[in-house]
Amino acid sequence: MDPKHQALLRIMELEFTAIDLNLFLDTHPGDQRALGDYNATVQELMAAKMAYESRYGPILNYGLSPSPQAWRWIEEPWPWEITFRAED
Amino acid sequence: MVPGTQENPERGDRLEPLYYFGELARAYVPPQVYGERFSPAEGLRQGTIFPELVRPYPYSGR
Repeated sequence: MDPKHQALLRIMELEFTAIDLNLFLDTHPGDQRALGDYNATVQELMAAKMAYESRYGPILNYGLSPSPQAWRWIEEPWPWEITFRAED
Repeated sequence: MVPGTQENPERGDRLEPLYYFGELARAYVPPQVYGERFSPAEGLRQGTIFPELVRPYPYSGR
C-alpha cells in the first residue's frame, strides 16, 4: 500500500479507537485509565491528521481543515474513489 | 388495565386490556470493566477495540 493510503488507514484506525473509547467513557465517565487512553489517542490522531494534511491536502472542508499552499480540496482522488483491499 | 395509564373518555380513549402475564422483560447488562484493548489496527479489523465485545455472526456462506 502506498504511503498516502497507509497514512489514511492509520488515521482511520486511530479515529475508530477514539470513537470506541468515547462510547466507553459515555457509560464510564469516571474511568481514569480509559480517559488517559482516550486523550493519548486524540493526541496521536491529531498529529497523524496534521502530518497527512501537510503532505496530501485537507481531509475535511468547510473550515475544518486548512489548505495552505493551494486549494487542494478539489484534487482527486475523492474519498469514495479510494478502495482499501480487504486484507489491508 | 395497563398499570400507570389513565383512560381519558373526553379524548375518546378506550383502552383495550393488554393481556400479558407479569413483566414483559427486564434487561440486565453486566457493567463492562476496562481491561485489555486491541491495537487500533486490530480494533478497526475486529469492529471493536474491546476483545470481550467481539461477537461475529458465523458466516454461513449462504
